[in-house]
Amino acid sequence: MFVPVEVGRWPCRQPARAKLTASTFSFTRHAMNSSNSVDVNGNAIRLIREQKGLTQLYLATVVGVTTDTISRWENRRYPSIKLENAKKLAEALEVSLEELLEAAAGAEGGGGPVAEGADSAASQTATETSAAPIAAGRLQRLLARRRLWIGVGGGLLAVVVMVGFAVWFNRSDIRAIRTMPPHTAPNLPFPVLIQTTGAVDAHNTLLIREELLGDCEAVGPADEGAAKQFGKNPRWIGKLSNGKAVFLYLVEPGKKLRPDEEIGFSGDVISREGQSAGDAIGGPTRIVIAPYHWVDSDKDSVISDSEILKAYETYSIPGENLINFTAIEELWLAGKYAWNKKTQTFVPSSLADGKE
Amino acid sequence: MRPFLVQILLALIFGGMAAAESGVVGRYLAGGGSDVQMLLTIQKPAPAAFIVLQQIPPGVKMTSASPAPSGFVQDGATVKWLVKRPRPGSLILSMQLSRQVAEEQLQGEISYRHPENGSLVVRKISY
Repeated sequence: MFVPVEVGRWPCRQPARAKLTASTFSFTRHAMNSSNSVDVNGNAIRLIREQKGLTQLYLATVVGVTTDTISRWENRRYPSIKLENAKKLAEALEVSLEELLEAAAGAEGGGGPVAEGADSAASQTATETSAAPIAAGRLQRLLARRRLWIGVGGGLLAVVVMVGFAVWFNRSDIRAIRTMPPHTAPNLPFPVLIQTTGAVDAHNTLLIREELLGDCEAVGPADEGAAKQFGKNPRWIGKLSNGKAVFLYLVEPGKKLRPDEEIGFSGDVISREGQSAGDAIGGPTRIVIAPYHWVDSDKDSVISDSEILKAYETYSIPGENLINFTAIEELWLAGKYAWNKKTQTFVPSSLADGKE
Repeated sequence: MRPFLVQILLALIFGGMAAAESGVVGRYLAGGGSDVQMLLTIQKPAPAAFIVLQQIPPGVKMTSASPAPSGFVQDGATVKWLVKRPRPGSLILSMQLSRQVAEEQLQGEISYRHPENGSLVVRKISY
């Protein structure tokens, strides 16, 4: 498929055109055949007509043929027309007959002998004699340039179509969102949840790849419920169940991290065989270190009923005991808590009475 | 044994009535006394967790409870349960107090996040 290019858009200059005179009727042997007809350049007819703003009806009227005939001449590359009509056509187009013939002859003759007119023109002054050959040469260059542009445009279009098809073919319906609290304390592990969704009938194996940036380490569940260190590049392999899959892990911030420092996250999901680049995991990509518990979303040193309920709702997974909710409940029941810089831990501001 | 069966029967009856409502609802089964039971009805879909908060009248102490509460706050004046992963259906909370209390002295509430819109819902436990 090619992109249609309008001739009028080409960056070209109007060639100097000579009026039709008797001296200009020295066209090539190649262009004239034995039946007193000549081969004219259809493209040149159309180009010159459009450049002069003439209609096919006008040409048809001047030449004495129908508009269909003009159209046929223009659409054929080198139509053979009567010499008489060719002269009228050149008159109507206000160009020499040679201008309509040279291109055809040159094209047929390739790099061979040029027209008589061209030979004789060489002996004349530059301004008078070179008008027709120069115009024909420009026309040739324009045509060559047109073919080049069509080729380039077509090539580009083909590349765009192929790239689009490749992107469409490799598209993934798998979506992964990361959920994590906006802040955590320097020495307090916090949960990161990756929820993956896709088509219910999808059975592809998923590969989740996370990358942690900063002083921290990932901790995840291992066999028999034990926690396992995963470093800064935790990875999981799993499958969707009813269109969903959830991956939970903890991140332990380094003890050297100070308030206002951050831990960054980036990750992707690979769900197709041969997929080179994964689909990026959405959601937050950083967490700030602050002297507040990650459950305490409003940072008021109180873990409210709403906050502990939300934490449990968001980060608890049946069968998983990664998160120490008992310690969180202790702070919740205490009413207030405080950050102990020395021990790098949270302490209830008033110990619960009579806790069983 | 008979009072126990009556309690179960009442639980089923009131549980069925409460099931018409949404979320988690609570109702005191025994009107006062030292043995207090409350019936909790959990609708489907159940919230991930809910909190039961029971006020203890002044001068009264809770001697035992089933299931065990998560803890006490305000010097034992308030008892809290954090019920995790409740299953839809009915749940009975029972507690034994150090002395008898009148029905109107019992005050409690249930808090949970609405399973569908995430808003915090707080409901009083009715008589």
